[in-house]
Amino acid sequence: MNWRRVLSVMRKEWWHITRDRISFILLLLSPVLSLVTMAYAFSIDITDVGIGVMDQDLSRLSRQFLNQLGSTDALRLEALPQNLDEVERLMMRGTVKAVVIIPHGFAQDLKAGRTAAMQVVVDGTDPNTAGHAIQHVSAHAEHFAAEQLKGQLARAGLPTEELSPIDLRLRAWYNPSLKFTVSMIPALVGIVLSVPAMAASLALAREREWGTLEGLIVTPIGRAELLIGKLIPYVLAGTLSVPLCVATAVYGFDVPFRGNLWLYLALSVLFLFATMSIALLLSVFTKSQQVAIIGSMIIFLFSGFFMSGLLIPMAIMGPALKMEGYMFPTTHFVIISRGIFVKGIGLAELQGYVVVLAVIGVMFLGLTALMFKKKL
Amino acid sequence: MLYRIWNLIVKELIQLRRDQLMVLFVLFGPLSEMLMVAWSTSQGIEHLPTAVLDLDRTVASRGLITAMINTETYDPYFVETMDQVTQDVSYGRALAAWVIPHGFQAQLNDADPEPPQVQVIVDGTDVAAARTAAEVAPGVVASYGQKVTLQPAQAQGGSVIPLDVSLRVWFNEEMKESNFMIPSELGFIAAAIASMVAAMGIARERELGTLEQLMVTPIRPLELVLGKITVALVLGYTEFLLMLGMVIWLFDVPMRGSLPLLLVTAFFYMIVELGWGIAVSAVSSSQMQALLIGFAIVMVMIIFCGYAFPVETMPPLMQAVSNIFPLKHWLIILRAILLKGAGVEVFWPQLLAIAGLGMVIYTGTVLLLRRKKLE
Repeated sequence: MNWRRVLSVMRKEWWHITRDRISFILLLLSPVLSLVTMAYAFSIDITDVGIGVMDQDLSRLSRQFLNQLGSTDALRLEALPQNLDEVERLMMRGTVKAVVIIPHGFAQDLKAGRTAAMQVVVDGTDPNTAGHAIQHVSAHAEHFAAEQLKGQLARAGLPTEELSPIDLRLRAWYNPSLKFTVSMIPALVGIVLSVPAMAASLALAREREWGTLEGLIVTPIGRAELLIGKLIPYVLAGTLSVPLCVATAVYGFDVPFRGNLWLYLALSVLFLFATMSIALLLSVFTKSQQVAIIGSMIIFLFSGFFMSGLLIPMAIMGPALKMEGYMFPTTHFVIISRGIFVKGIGLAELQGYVVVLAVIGVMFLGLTALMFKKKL
Repeated sequence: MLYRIWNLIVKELIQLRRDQLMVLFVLFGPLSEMLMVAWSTSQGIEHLPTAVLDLDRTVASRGLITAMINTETYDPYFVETMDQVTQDVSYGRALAAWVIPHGFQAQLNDADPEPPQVQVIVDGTDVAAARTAAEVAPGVVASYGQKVTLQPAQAQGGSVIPLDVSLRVWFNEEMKESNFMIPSELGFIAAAIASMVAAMGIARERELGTLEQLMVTPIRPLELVLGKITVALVLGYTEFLLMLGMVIWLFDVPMRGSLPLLLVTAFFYMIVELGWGIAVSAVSSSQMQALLIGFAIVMVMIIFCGYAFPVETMPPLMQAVSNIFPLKHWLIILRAILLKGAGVEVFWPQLLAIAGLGMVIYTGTVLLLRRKKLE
């Protein structure tokens, strides 16, 4: 390998990247900008879910329950439908996500010590919003029921402490208030850092599309030299955006950074190297930039979201899916990034993932060098 | 005019035939994407690896552990020391841990007012798993505790359950995440890929210098736009049909509304959605630029259009902004037809919005191309 030749390819590629000023700025900033957009979405908690109450009992107790429901940030009393037709219309339109139906005789049953019935109808279209509505409506119902039960226990002459016989101490380590941003933003860094790789996949495809590959073929440059020279400028561009991403996470969204910053930077470079070598292999097979783009979007963006443990924990996936997930570098980087950011762990705990990233990088680069013929 | 558009379409088709990998990617990429989403969302968050440290080892502590296993949320394994718990959580081997202290049974059965303490630890690094683990725990502990201690009250004949809440979920009865995400995918992917193709279409001509040649032909900007989107439309719509078949037959997502209505509205929506792709293509000078701008727009669409996060919970300003994306309105229509079985009388406002956006996008693009031509 002749490093002077590698260097001249690098210079040429770097010049390509920086010549078009708009593209260069977009390349540097788009990881950070997409991080901000996505981080913002995760910082919004579900609040103010519109609900309706169909009160058929019209008693003092039912009104008391209704007022409690509407008095929180979590739920917003949106409508008071009179009959089931109206309930259905509201749910179809999506005006309310849940309707609480208090039947006739509710207060009477409660006073008599019988079990009173109540019905909750929920729009399950979006399970997250539905889950939120169910959780808060049942919390209210439980609280209401506990008050009624206390009255009953007092009448039966039993101590009311018996209602909570076990003292549960619930602790969330590393992220005490279970904030979404703390967990998601470090993982999202893995998604946005694949933008430079997507750009790199264009690099080879572009030479072919423009016909400039022909010019390169007649030079004495070797296959490996050409590939490494193409790859390094994009790794460099990606490395520049890592500190920007970390700063955005820490100062913009209050994500703690508990680990070693230098280790994080080094492992990010390793991750960039792994994603780039996959991108290069992809661009060996493509004739046009369009194909290179669509291919790398599927590999990095879509799989990154769904197969990397970012949204769905790897632990619940089936064995086949787990195996597929661990083939993507993003999966390993999500674990590394969360580990260093939130847990503050070091190389000792992460070594397994680091080794896999390195193996992926070397393997795909080798494969690219094998497949890439200096021919047309 | 039709003749000129037809010529352009033929040219595009020849180009497409030369690049067969492109057709393969455009058609099968989204399909494989949908498979991924379907598989990964078809399972609820359950069977989380959980470390259990039982220092009591009594009937009561085992009873609590059984109650915990019965929820199917936790997949417990036993550890011997607290150090082990700490280590397993930090290495990520356990996502949650239950610690039952020594003397649990004695304190539970004793009339002693001091209740026994149970500690539940969740790993906050992965919030999706941690929230589930944390939400299920209080219910398990409370109902187990009450079962043990409220027996005397029951013996006296009082009703222990004062309120019986019966829950009914409409439209997505089992609250399956996949019934939410798969329609999202269906609405989004086909359009996103088709627009990426469209986005790079004009940019590609410009980059390769062939746009100049097109400009000197009698073809007008509107005709250029129509010719370019037709091929993308054919690809995108074929894609949509393939995916729809998979959604209904392979993934058992309910199809409660009218199929013809869905097919017609989908076609109409796709024409509009392709418009922004062409608009990006008209402003960018190279394919790399088109990619980077397109990527930014796709990100914003994923986040703010109700693809994965409900629009209703966003701040009012963002809700207002989200209206400029056809995808937002389309997702409402798609879910309404598939899951709710709704008809036009429910979602006509969304249809109108898409039509309006289409007019604005296409007029803007044609005006832009006309100006660029003069430059």
